[in-house]
Amino acid sequence: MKGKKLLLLVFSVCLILTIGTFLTTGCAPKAPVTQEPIKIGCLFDFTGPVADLGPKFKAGFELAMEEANYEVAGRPIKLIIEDSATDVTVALEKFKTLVARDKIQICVGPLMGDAHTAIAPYAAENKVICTSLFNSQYEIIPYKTYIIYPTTVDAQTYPFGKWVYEKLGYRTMITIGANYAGKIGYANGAAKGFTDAGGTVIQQLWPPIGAPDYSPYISAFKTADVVLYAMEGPGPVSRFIYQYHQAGLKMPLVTITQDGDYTPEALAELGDIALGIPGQSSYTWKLDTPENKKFIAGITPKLGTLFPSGAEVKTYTLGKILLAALEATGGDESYEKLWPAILNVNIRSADGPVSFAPNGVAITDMYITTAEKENGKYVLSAPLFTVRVGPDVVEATRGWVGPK
Amino acid sequence: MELLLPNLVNGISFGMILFLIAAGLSIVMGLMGIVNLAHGALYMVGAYVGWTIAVQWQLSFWLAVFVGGLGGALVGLLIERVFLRRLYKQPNEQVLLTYGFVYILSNLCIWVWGGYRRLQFTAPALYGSMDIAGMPFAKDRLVIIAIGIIIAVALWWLQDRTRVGAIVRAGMDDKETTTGLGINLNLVFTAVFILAAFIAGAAGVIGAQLLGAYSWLGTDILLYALIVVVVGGLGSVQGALLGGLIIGLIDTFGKALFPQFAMFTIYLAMIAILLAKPSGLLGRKT
Amino acid sequence: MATDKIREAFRQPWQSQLIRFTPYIAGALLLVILPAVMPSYVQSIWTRFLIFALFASSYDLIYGHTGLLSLGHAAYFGAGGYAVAAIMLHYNINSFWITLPLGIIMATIVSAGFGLLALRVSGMYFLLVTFAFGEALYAFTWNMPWLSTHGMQGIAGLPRPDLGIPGFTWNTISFYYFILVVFLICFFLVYRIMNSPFGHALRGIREGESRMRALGYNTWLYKYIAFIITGAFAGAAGVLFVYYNRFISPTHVGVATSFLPMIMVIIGGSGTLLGPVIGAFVIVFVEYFASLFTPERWPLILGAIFVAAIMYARGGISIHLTRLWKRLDYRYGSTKS
Repeated sequence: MKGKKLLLLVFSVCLILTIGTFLTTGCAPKAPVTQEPIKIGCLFDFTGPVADLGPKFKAGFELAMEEANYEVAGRPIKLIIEDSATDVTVALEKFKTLVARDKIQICVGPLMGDAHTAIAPYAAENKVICTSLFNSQYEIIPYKTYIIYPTTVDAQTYPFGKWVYEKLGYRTMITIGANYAGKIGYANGAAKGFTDAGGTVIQQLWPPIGAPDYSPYISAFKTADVVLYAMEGPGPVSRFIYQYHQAGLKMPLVTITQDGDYTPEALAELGDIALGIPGQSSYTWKLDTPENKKFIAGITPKLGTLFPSGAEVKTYTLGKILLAALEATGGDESYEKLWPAILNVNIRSADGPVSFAPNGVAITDMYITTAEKENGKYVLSAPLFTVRVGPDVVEATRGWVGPK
Repeated sequence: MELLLPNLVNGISFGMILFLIAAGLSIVMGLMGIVNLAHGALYMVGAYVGWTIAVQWQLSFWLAVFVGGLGGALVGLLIERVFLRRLYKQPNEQVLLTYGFVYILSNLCIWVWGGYRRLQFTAPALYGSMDIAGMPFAKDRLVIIAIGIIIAVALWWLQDRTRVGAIVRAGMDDKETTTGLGINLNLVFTAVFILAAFIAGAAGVIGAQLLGAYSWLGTDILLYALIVVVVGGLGSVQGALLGGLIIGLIDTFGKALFPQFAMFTIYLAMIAILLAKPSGLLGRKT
Repeated sequence: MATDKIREAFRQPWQSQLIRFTPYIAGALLLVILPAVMPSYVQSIWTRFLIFALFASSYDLIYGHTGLLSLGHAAYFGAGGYAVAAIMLHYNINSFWITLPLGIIMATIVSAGFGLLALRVSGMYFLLVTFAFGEALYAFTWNMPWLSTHGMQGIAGLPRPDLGIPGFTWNTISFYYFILVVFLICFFLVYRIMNSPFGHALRGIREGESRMRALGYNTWLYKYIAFIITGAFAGAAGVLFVYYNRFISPTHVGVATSFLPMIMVIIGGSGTLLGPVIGAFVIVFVEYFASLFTPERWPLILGAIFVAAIMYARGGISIHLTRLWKRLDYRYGSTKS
């Protein structure tokens, strides 16, 4: 009897040791292999307020990789895709995991600008090259570790602000945007453009991210010629348009990042009330270029949606940029070689030409679009206006002081 | 004036939604001594189920309200019968259990319905606004206020004017004597719990006109409901109604007048009540 | 007397000595030796486990020993963390010898304030109020620009602590041992408190407050002091967390983080010394493995474990372990056999 109990005891001690060894060996780094794959980490949001965009980002990036057969300069490419859940904390945790456990050298995403701010110090320390998905902040530039594509938030909407004043003839504006760096930047970029052209921004409201009910803010609107809204993603945008309509106000709406927010699903849900709102876009599926046609042919079977929105094309172009740069370095993904190679990239992708300023901010085209009804379906229109956004615009957007 | 009326309507309609959830929560708390933290999750389940009926399958909105209530009631039945029943006389464990269910239910909703928010939806007849005295008012909000009043009256009548209500109130005041009178309190408990869950689920669909459906709706609305219970007092329909309206109005006017501090206004109200009258404005003495 | 005991101990048959020492061997193995040979990524998880073990132990003081169910405990955890992060962000003060006390003081102030209001009510209301206070602090940290790095909610880019040792640089394993030392000190303090007359009084209050009052104890004061102590230790855990995570956000003050020590205490065993530590171990590592295989379903798994633990594992793992050791000890007998 005693022997059996002793055995049990020794067994438990061994169990503890085994668990430990398991943990050790289970997580030990693999032995180096000659043609080791290039590991690209992807942080997309599959849950949370902008969860509809996650699968689109994924599809776009995968398409770019598929077109290159998942290899570049003779080395295979491995994607490690994680859910950043539209949450800074989660995004940071996942990023740390990707770097420490999977040893990625390149990270695509996440979407939210505040996550970039949290991740940038880490990325700089670990020499991991990151990319934004739709935008990023000016403050990230000094870290020299983020590719900011298509451009900084403020610069993206600055020309649009000017256009609203010059072409639409409005003189006073109210802005309402989600209260975080990304949308604040977008709204303020447009506000500065509008003001620099001669207009006046009379009121700025910032509901919190994920606010379910915009009615208190809508009811606080003063009277202006136009209302510019900048909500965090297709879901909140739809909610705002719906509640604005329910409230019965008459002021016309304009918006930004329309290519990201006007997904086919969101438009179908909104119906007629989405029509007639001009917005800044960094892409529209109706661009008449060979690269865009090729992209649409590839992406439509992947997602089965009516037309691709901004999300798919952004990661597609990012993929193309990375592939071009890796080709140039001969497959060397180390920071020292890859970063300058990226800055030298100069390609045409589905959303227009892409090149880079020395600080890592891209130089691309911006468009102005609206929603139309075509054959009974709601779609994004062809560009009403095109403008190239480069470093001069980025600089011009600094120094927004607020409504008068 | 331009600011006052729309916000009044917004505040009262939001307050009605809060009343619907808080009423069930408060009665269950008063009667069974359980803080059902999953109550907000029941609301969320109702909202999602209602979305499927009204938006996905394009059926009648009012059917969606009913089925949403059923959904909430079913989940509530499951939680009460299978789990809470076994933890009789252990209030702390019961509370913790319901908290665990919040996680389970919210993740299940993501699993079934996907991780992104559903747009607000309403009956086609209630789409848009109507003009009253030259000002536009959202139709769905006016209907919510009407529904809230009807249900408040019905619940109050149930509580104060029926035998069932008398039994419930007696059970809240003195369990032993009530059982001694030969009343099967366990049955009453289950019935009350299910009714509360049904109302929560139906409120989920009614409230979806304002809030939509999303996977962390359970925790968001729970916070409001808990503060309503603290402010209005435990165990009575009147308390839930008063608390709901107060919080709904404070929250709405707070957001409209002080957008920076909007999130704090309701906490300030709660702290004020705690300092002045800890058992709530219309709370029964416990 | 002590030397007699030691001599007595060494005279036992080798089996009982093995039993007696096994917990210490296991502890030393798990905490000291094993981490040294693991890859840095797993070391980081081990560090996380220690921090949450401290957090859970602090929570056990108020829940397991005093019997007060406080929701929203992350408020004190976050208060300590935010205090340190804000100091580093705005004043560049990084000396650990300043930041740790500061964080603990901040957490103590917050718990003293919240406790004063929360203890005005009891039972269910106490629950609601502590929950609401946690959410209030969440709203506060979300909305205060002073508490955020520009451009986001939360404070990012925080460095490792400065110990004032010239030429010393951190790596993952040295940081782990540092946290281990701080943890052991705090844990020892908690142990002393739990076994002191104060701790006994708390357990008395848990079992029957009116009885204690009849015996002449000022139960409100005891509860209040317990609340403050638990806040202080939670704040200490928060300080360590900020150094570990190098980032703090309102999420760390909110409901989701409050939930973690609760579930750890339930699983590990409330009202015991090792229970919270074991619970923290289980949760942190299950979370790690879940993140490898089913990251989206982790909250579901967590909720299910929680429900199962409440329903079936009353007393938690540590009770079962303690019984096992006791039975083995009895078998081998510490008496002359």
